[in-house]
Amino acid sequence: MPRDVVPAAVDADGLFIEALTVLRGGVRVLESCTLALRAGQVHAVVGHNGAGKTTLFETLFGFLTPVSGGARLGLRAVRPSDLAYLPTELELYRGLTGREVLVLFARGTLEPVALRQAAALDVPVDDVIDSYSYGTRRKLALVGVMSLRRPVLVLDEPFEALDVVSRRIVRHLLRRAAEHGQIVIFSVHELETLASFCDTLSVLQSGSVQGTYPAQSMADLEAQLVREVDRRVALLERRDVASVSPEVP
Amino acid sequence: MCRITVAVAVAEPRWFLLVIAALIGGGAAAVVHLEPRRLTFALGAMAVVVALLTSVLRRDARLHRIIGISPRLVRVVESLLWSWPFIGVAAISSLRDGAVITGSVAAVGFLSVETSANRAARRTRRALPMVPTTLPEWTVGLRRSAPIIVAAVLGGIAGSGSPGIVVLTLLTLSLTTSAYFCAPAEGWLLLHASGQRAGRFLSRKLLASVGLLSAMVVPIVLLSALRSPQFALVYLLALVICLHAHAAAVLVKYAAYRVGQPLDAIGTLLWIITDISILVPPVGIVLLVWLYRRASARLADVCPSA
Repeated sequence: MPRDVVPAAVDADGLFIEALTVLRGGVRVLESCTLALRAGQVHAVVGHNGAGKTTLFETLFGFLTPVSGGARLGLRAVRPSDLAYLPTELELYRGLTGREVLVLFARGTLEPVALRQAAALDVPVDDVIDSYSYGTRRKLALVGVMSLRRPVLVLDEPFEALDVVSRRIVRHLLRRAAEHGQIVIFSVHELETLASFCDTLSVLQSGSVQGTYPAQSMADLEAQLVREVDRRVALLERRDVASVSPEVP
Repeated sequence: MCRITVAVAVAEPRWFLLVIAALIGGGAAAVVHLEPRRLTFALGAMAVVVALLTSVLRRDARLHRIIGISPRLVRVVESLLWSWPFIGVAAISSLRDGAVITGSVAAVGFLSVETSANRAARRTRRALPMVPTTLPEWTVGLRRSAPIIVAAVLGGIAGSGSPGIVVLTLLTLSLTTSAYFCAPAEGWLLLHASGQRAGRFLSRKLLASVGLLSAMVVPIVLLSALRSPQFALVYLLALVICLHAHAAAVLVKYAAYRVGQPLDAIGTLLWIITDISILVPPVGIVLLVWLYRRASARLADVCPSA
């Protein structure tokens, strides 16, 4: 089992999510969720579908009101203006070109770095976004969100629908954002490459943080995951679980 | 001009052939019939132009999804609805002419579905430097309705001596630009990205949009008032009504804001009621203020609070 690395306190620019409990439709979706992230940290949140990842992000952003707990940035409560949030569901302005959308994000002054990022991600910025594929729209939105330059970058599944090359470039961009002092927190389903660019990751299960671990302990987590998959496959095939995957001490 | 014609012919051959056929047919009819038929010809041409503008330039038709009939049939019905005044007047003088115009309009509506799809697939778009980046509605809208706007402005300037033409011009400009705000609304991500509080975001958008419309209509009104000062009050009244209707459209968009959705029936009704309320001035202002507050409250969740 990997070692839990939740720090006792965060620095003055850190993000501290404290005992966040959120109800959705009367159901407790988040239960005493606690996380502490320092400035310049890249943190992944992993978990099954319905584990509460999107709810956590939407609560941070202020869409949902927690029944208890809260989040603060340094010594004050987190405000929406602190966050650059990439949601899973996008609705950009139909009929605009990618460049015009980026200008909207940049509030009039499009920085060359945003155009370079878009070019690296193969986003045709002079085409109308109506002609974009789903993945290209997500890449454009990611570039736009990153251009907001807010202290906390909250990305809900930033690798969704991205091709292999774009995934690698996005990993690089997230790392660069952290080097510039931004806190990067994102949800992800693919664990394979997290160790290469993440500092830490949290496992969210049934609305609770099961643990926060250094990304180097990915191998242990993947072994756990393999055992879980084996167990479910055995159930599916009605086989003896122990014969498929013997318990590792 | 030649390059544009070739480009249109290659990109949209059906549309091109239709327009050419309409022009040749219309020209031949004018030559044959001359004076007595001039009115009918003009009515027919106007009906076809209106059908073109209201079908080919629009890509947002959703009526077929709602009522479950073919998109082509919806476009045909819409074209006929828009053109019925011209068809009606032409039919009064000659039933045969009325039938010919009706057929032309229906054909335009029928063929426009595919033409619209071709237009959507076309990629390059001209930049519109005069439109503020904070008004994407205008950027998108002007790309679709530039011919209407240009024709209305030129028509308004040319006919500035006639109160009827001036009022019609102002109404056309106001309704066309107000329709920009009935298109599917942007996601909250872009509102959040604006980095402004809801009230500030809304007031800046309102001022910029009403300002742009004023830049088009005020010169026409001033020119008209100079040419026929006896109607200055009529022009002023028309100007106020147009700007009020446009402001109401901007506010209703966000008061009835739904991500990725166009203005719904209730929003449209609200807009119409607000427009009519200008007839009772205090109510017109009160409704605008109410819409502003409602829109601000609606946006408060997604716009940064500070």
